[in-house]
Amino acid sequence: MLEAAFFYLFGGLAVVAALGVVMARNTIHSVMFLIFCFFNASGLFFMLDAEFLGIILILIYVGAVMVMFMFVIMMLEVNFARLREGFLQYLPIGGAIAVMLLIELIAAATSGVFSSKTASTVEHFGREVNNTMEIGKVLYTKYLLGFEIAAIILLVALVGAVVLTLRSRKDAKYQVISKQVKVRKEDRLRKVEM
Amino acid sequence: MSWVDVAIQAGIWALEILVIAASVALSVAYIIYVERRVIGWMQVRKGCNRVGWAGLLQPIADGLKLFLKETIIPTTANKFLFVAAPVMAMAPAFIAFAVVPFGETTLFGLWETAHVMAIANINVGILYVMAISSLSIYGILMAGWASNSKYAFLGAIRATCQMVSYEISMGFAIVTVLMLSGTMNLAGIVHAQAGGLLHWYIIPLFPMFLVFFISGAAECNRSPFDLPEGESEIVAGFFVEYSGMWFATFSLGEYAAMILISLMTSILFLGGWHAPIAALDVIPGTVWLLGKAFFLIFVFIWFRATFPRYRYDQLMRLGWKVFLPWTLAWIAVIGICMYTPVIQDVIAFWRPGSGA
Amino acid sequence: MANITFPFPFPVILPVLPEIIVAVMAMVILIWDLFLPAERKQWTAYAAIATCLVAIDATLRTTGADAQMAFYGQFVLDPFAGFTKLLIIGATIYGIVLSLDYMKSEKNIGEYYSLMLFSMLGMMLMVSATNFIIMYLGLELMALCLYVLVGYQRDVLRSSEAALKYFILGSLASCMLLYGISFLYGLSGSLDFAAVGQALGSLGDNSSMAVSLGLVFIIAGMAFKVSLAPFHMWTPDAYEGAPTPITAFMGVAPKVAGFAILARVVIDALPSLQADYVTIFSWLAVLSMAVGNIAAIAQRNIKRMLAYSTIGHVGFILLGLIAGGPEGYSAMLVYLAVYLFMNMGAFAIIILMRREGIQGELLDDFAGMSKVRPGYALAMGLFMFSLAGIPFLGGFWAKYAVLIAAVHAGHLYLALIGILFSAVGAFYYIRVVKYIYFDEERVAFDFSENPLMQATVAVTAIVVVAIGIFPQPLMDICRAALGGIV
Repeated sequence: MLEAAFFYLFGGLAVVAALGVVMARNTIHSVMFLIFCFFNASGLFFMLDAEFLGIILILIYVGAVMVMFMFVIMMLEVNFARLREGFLQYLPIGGAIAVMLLIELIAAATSGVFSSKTASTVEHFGREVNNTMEIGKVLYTKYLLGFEIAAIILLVALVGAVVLTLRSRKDAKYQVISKQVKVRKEDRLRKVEM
Repeated sequence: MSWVDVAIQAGIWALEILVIAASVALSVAYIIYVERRVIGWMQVRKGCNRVGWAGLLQPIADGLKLFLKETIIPTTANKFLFVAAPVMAMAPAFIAFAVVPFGETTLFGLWETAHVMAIANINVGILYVMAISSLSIYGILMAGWASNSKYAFLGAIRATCQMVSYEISMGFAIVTVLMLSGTMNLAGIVHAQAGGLLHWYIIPLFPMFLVFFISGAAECNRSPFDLPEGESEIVAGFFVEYSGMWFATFSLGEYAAMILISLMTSILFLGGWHAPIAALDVIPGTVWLLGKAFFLIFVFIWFRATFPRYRYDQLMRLGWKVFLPWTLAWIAVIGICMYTPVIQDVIAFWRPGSGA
Repeated sequence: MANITFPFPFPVILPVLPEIIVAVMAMVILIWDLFLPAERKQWTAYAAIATCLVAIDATLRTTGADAQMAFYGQFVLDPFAGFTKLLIIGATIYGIVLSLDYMKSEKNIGEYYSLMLFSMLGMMLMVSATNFIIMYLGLELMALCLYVLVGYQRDVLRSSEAALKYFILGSLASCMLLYGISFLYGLSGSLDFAAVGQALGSLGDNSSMAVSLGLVFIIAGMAFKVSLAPFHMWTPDAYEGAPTPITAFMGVAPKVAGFAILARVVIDALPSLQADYVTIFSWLAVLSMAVGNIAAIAQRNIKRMLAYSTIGHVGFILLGLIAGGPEGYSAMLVYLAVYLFMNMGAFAIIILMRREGIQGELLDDFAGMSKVRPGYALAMGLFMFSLAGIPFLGGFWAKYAVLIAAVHAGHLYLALIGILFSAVGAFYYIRVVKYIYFDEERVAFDFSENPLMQATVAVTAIVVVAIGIFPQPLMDICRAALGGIV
């Protein structure tokens, strides 16, 4: 009973927060709602005894990704009036698609294939299982290839971001540590006759 | 479990939380006092010595003064976030204390087995600390943005970049510890270092100890990494618009984070509550842990009295070009050593669970 | 020496050898570039070509007649994967050769070539995937590199705009794909193609809403990646804005990889849904052929025109997938192989037309080319005729193969529609030939004189003609390539 209550609490708050993300007029508030949403999602993970995923969600998304989001949003001058310009114009078609999708999803969810029988149950519920270790074992054996590809994707993202933004300026001054260390007294000092 | 049991358990938890929160808050007050005295001593001057004997009542006087001051909210500020920011900066530092194990106790022989003295002894303790302490950035970011002031905003931007940069090398330094200990449970990490000074992770991981501790200084914006505050160029950085109790809240968070980093360094690298040699085991573990942490806090203060502030590009260079490759290389070194025939046996000395 | 005990069984890596070579070399080039002086940066391109050649060799050596599994069954190297990998690597080599001159003045060319290699790596992994995770990761690796490559000329507004559009729509498509995969995962509890296929087969009630939703989302996501109408909106903009060698590259290689993996998914994971997906594919194919061939007529920019032409061709290729069976899939491979040569050749000619550093991109620019450069004109004419499907050039046999396969599979009406749109399409291809041979020269070009590129154009033209005259060897190879899959 208590579990169901917590599930609905986290789930409900996550939905409310997600609505807040799209409804909020102030982008900073949107980001805060998104962070709140992540916390609730992490709570759901904790309820499944997946504490590793729960913590990682907070560590990566809230601790790093959202900071960057917020950073970018603070730097940009977001013009809300212009952002909402085409809103009403696109509302009918967008709304229609959304409603259709919602109906389809509900139909799919209630079609019976995802009944509690077929859904994977948490077998280790209440037992002492170190799921960090279990995830590690699977990740580095069965899913090793995927793990490596993901690493290369991150590398590519890094290289891509640098390539698209790096502009070497001629007037910028760079510090060359080795040069600084190599400097001797003779290079800098000279005696002036007074 | 009946409702009475639940109520008793809740009461015990509330008491534990209260004890830790109160002692952290009090420690913060007296660390500020110690800081002023120690820096005074290092700079051959007196430091505060007027209020009470040797100035011991100074923190209380300071607290009272800040509490009674008017809290000014700038008219152009975003009121809600402006008020929320200090709390958001302080809360994570306190919440993180929930998993810190202060030692092991049998409660004077009352329990049969030794219990870990932590509010929550969770499996992913170290990740929890990392995750929670990374949240304090939001307080700073919000403070800078909500103040609607250039200096505050600049300070917040500096703080964000700095914390995000150093968090990475800090995380990787922790990974090396995890590789040896084989657990993310903080008490487990301490147990893995049992057996005297030589078993402490500072021996095989000395460079990582340095990286972790220095990154820690950067994480809580301590000098020489206190650019976000940068009095000389951006007045007081992100809390330039704050006064009175809200200002004090920021300091509280900052010093609590410092205590946390010191405790974490002691737990991860300095053997936690274990004594350096077996003969000294008579002194309780908690005293050892707090002693080590206090020494590290003293080192933080020492830094502040000694080093000039970093320039911004130097700060970034240190984080990204020195620490990050260094930690990555060390992970590779440890990883390779763990599976290299002869060295494997040497490394096994620090790996209690490896069975070798 | 004492035994080294790993805590896990060491994975089989021999079938992954080509990918490993490419991955390592891409990273080596990335670092090597840092130490090269500015005037020798071009070496990275030659290193990239060498890597591709080694990868071709490795692929040929490791591919056997049987399917070889690696990485705990998540990766398969069968003749089908081997053949498509060769096509992908071939397209990459073309892309690099076309870039040699084009990118000379750009900065950061080391990163450019290593991104191309990474993109190729993503596609190679994709065609070997036996698992939705590997498929998705390969797809993302490919797409991420392409987003960056499209926006590589960041000072050109058009390029940045194209990259952004491509990126946003591409991410949306990836979301759809993932969403569809998550449905199938929820139904079957597995991400392996074979296991999903089995679970769906035993589900019985195939018309269940969840299955259809999963299918629709997966097809929508993949349709975007291979630019099938109505998911083609990004194509003209991205093609026009991207550096021309990248346009050529992304016009061919991702299509090969996309169709290969789509074939694998429908064969292994969705066999029980054949009736459903054939219906969806038929609509997509008809729409693509219509949009591609009709909208191309209105284009004045040749890159845009070729973008629409791609959409049309993709519709034809889909006919092979609809037909199914050995004949259909081998027709698909034939079409992809021939299309690689025709398309690359056409883009090579476009790149060769340089005018004060500006690319000849308008149709008008081709006016009177036959008088200035009869050789180029002849080659361009051949490529255009081949793209149009004029008999006894490569393109004819490609179209012939898919149409015959469709007819044999009982899709007569689709084949008829295909012939109709093929006739419509011939109009705008032949219009280019008209510009080249029957119009007066309007603007003077100083054609780029790169012997390597000229040789490439010549070889490509010869291949297109050769396939046109002797189509049988290619068809046999494509039929043999199906060994591991059907």
